[in-house]
Amino acid sequence: MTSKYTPNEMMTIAAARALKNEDVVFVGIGMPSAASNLARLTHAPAITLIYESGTLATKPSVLPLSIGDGELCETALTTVSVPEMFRYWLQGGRITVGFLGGAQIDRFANLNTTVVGPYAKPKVRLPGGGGAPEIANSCGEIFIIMAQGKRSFVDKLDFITSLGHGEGGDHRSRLGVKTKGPTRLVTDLCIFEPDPRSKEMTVAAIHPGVTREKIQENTGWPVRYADKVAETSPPTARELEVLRELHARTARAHGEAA
Amino acid sequence: MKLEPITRAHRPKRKEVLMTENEATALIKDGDVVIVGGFGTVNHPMPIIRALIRRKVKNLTVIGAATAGLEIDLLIGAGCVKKVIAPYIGAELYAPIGHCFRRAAEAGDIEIYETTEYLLYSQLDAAARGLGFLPWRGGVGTAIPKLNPDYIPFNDPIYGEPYLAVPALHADWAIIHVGQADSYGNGQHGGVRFGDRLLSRAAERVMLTAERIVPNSEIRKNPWATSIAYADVVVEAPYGSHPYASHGFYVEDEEAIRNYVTASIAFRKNDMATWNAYIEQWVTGMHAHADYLAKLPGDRLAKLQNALHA
Repeated sequence: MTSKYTPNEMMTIAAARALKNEDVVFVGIGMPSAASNLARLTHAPAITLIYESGTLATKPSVLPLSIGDGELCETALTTVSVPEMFRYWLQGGRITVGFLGGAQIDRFANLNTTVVGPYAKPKVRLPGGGGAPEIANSCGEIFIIMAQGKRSFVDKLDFITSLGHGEGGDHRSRLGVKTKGPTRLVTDLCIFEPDPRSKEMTVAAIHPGVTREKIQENTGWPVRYADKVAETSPPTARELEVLRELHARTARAHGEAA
Repeated sequence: MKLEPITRAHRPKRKEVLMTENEATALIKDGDVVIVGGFGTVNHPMPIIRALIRRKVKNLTVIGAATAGLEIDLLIGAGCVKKVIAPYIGAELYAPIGHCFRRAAEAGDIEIYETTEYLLYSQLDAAARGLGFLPWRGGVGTAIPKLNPDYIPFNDPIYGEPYLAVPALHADWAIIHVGQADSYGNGQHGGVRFGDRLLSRAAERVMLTAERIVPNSEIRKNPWATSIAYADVVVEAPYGSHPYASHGFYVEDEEAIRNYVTASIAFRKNDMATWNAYIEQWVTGMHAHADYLAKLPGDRLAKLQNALHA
């Protein structure tokens, strides 16, 4: 069965597929949380989801609206303090995947969540980095999920809040950062992966029905493509059903904000 | 053999520290450095926040919990804040950014200390331990140390790995919301503690708001649940985190949070009539926390409490 689906659903489902049963994932609120829980409810039932508020191996039945949500604590294996989470789990190297979103990204998957425009006179003040800067450095690898657009996929960031591949190439390791950094960027149009040498995020797979023109129109730098570009498999009936049920449950619990 | 009791030098005897939120708030002065506990939309000491605004306290430096929420945003919108030390001000799916914070930041009305969650906690941790600094890896390679000269890149002397040296950050007050406390300053969280224990140890003085006050004998029944001992001030504040949740007691009031977000968007757009009406209705047009609770629709609090066990 091929049902109709939205670009956002394709994005969430493509991101969920990247997660494995054995992953220990540091999950952000919003799209990362939807994708991680979709993975848990479909192909990766044993996945370990960790939220920065201190919840370990949580299994929320509705998606949290904010990080302190009681749903995350009540359905967790245990909760630890936030300092313990950051010291022992994150910096201690126990997280395999950090799952981030962001306001702005560049071709090397550096993220900006601080300001748009000059720092002293910002055009737009953003909420701040939160824990993303340390998540970006301390998790084994980083997945990023972001809807694509020229204002968010920019040629040059005003401010690097969270390190991706820096200026590209071996910049990350020259800075002394030993983790892999962003290995996958899933958007509503396609999937980017870093070029093995330059570390520039290059398109590895295109979602069904999306053209290269459309990808370029929504990207602030000249997009490069991998030698072999795949087409993302469309959502299966089961993936769509589980994702929609998750959102429906959340909406029933929380109303329009969900 | 009878052992001498262990006491803190400046408080040789057990002392009652229970007071009203207005008496407690009077201890906080213009220009103080104040840590506000809780996390996101949970466990914020709201009666103290509102009393600070009613007292028109000015020039506070506020240190948010790592995920600081709209409680700090409210203080900014009410004009109490000179400087914000927090890695994030917002409420995620309710509000991707605190709107008062955004306007004040874009207008240059507040000073912002750029940090990350654990750069901030490392600073408070250093203060709590009596150390001058602690090392942290997060933020290496980003623009944050360029904008905040307090963070000094260095290589550790043993393995040569790059870190940021983060200096101790001292505060005058930590204000923390707990589930229950006795009148001597011993508190127990009703659920998750987030970073509150660390926050409390980083400040010179600790103020608790508690959902209920219980006898010391009740606290001593569960010593392992006592998360904060020897607070300097305790305030009885049933539903004291409203509109935010208090773990173990009630869930967040989504409608009231959305009302705040609507008012704060008006503030950002310079619609001061709407913002001032909100402040008058929910903050300044009352004398005490009890008046605030009385303004809520009759069955609202019971619903929030019942939803906890739904």
